Amino acid sequence: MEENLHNDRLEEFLKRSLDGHSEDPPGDLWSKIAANLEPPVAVPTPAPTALKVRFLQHWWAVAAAAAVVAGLFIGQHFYFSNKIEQLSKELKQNNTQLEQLEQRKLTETKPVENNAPAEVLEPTPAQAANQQPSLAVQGGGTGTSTAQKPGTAANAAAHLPQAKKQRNAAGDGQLQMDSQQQNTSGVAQKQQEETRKSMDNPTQTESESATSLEQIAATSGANLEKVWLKRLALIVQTNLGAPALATTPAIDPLRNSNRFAIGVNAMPMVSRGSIQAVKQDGQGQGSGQFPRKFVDQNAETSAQAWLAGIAVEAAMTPRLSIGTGVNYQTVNYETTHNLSLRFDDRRHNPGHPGNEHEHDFQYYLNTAAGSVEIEVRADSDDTAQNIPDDEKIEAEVSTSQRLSYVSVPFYANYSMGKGRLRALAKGGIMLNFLQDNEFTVGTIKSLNNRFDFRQKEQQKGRPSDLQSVTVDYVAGLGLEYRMNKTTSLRLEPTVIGSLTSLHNNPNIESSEISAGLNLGMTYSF
Amino acid sequence: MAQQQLYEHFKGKMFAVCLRYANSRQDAEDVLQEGFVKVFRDLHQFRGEGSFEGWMRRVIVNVALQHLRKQRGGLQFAELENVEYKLGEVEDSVFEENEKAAALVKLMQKMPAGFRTVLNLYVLEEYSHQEIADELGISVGTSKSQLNRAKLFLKNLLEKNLAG
Repeated sequence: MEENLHNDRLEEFLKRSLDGHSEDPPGDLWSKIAANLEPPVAVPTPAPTALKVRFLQHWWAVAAAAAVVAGLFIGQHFYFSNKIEQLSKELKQNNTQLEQLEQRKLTETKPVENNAPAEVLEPTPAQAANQQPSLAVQGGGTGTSTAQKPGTAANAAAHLPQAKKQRNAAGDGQLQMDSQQQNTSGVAQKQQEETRKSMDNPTQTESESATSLEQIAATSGANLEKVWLKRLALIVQTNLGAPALATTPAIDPLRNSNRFAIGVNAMPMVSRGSIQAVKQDGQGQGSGQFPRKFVDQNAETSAQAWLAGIAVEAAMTPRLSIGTGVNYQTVNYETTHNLSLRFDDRRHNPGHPGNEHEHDFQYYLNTAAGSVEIEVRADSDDTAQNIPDDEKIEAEVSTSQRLSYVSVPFYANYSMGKGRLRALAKGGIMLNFLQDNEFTVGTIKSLNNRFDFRQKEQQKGRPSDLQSVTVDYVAGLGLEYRMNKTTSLRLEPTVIGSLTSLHNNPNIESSEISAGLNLGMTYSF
Repeated sequence: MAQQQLYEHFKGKMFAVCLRYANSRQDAEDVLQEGFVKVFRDLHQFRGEGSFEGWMRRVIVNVALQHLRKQRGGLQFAELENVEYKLGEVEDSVFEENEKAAALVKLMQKMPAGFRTVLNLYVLEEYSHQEIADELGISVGTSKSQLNRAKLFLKNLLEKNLAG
């Protein structure tokens, strides 16, 4: 139907006749226009250093973020350095203790050796029974030699080469398999002598030997086992036994030596923000004959947002990694503005009084993303003459605003715990590059019974003072589930706050903070 | 001065637009004056999407509509009547002596503002009836009826003009 009408011959005639029609206005019209043009409006243009200045205004937040990252590095370094030093001291102390015990044992056995008779005596059946387990543990030819007569004293003495062997193995990182055999003849001789002594004074010898065993077990054995385990762990951890933990891969059976990871992530978020007008009503910039007002208002805004992208991480230590990536994020602000105008703020149009019941208001609406000029129309039941200029006109205006960014984060990730399920702490900053924005005025609800806002001349606007680059801080604390050696799932409650303002309009102060749940999957290689 | 150069370049075309919407030449001058003030003030809002002339024309049309609403009584749209519109055969030759756009615009200025506005928006700005309804705060049906009545009115004006 409409196409037919558009194809109407009269319409074609009108189009053909009027298309390109040009007619000069009176020559003096420009002078009238120029008179209404004020000098270029002092729109606050962002200085080249605006971002830097704002960044410096939030120096404390930047410093805090840097301190968190630096603290993680330094803390990790000192933690492992101190641990290695502590274990080394403990090991040295135990080695010294072991040396002392060995020396003491040798000192105790010397007089027996010097005074012992040359003959070899057979042990009693009870002594043989006591010795057998010890010999079996030691293994080798010494334990089964017929020249070595079993007995508690011989058992005690036989521990010394074994303890020394173990100590040397711990200290040098390799087993000394030949040491026991090299001492075989000497030990057998000592054991024969001690056995003979025990036959002479069995009660005394058994008592001394038992004491030595208990001491070894009590003072060295338990601690040594603990120390050896720790040291063994360090040897494995550092490969060469050197304290180079900070540059070695994680001791993680599920991760091995993976140093890099790539991942995808997505995060729904909710935001809360406040808008505070610095410039008050009546101080707005006007142009031409139409004054525009900055509305004296403080508004709360809420937003729903989502973020998705890819990330790359590099492991600096077993627990600490740094990362970056590229995200695309969209924020949808929904704001209710409470206008507070006076009737005198209406647009005056000399020479064209118009409908006495209609009044247009043009003003700057302060939004989270800057100042937007909008125009609304109010109808009144009374004539203009009956309404005093100081009559308050209040209304609620709902607006929606959608901002899109490409974001580049820089963060540090610290992993805590062992096994498949681990805790994660994340901190860093995020640079946001503005891609698109759209501002729409929604409903206008009059709070004054004498006026009804029924029309909007300018339903859509576009804030012109948005920052092209903004900076946020990012902090998160969550969980990581390692499915296998390469793949992990992450669930991170995350907080994002603005370090710089969304806009460069000095008349508005706005801030916001967002909370979201970051879901991610990483692949390590 | 850049603003003056801009004005000089577009003043002819934009004044023609103003003449089509306004009730009189004086009104058109006022609309043009107000329109250019708004154009210069809102210059930063031009996003580079589409032609600059198209954007400027849209601004001027909006100012013209705003101006019409401010007229005493505002834009009046008559109730739909059972008007059977039959344009009939209108030969181009009929308009040979009136092809000059200026003469046609003068005829259009004699139309009721409601008719003229809908005719301008629909035929020359190529708005849809829905867009016209949204812009003027009327129903789609009213927009259609106003267009039909505007055409009939203009046809009668043209015939009378010829007869005269």
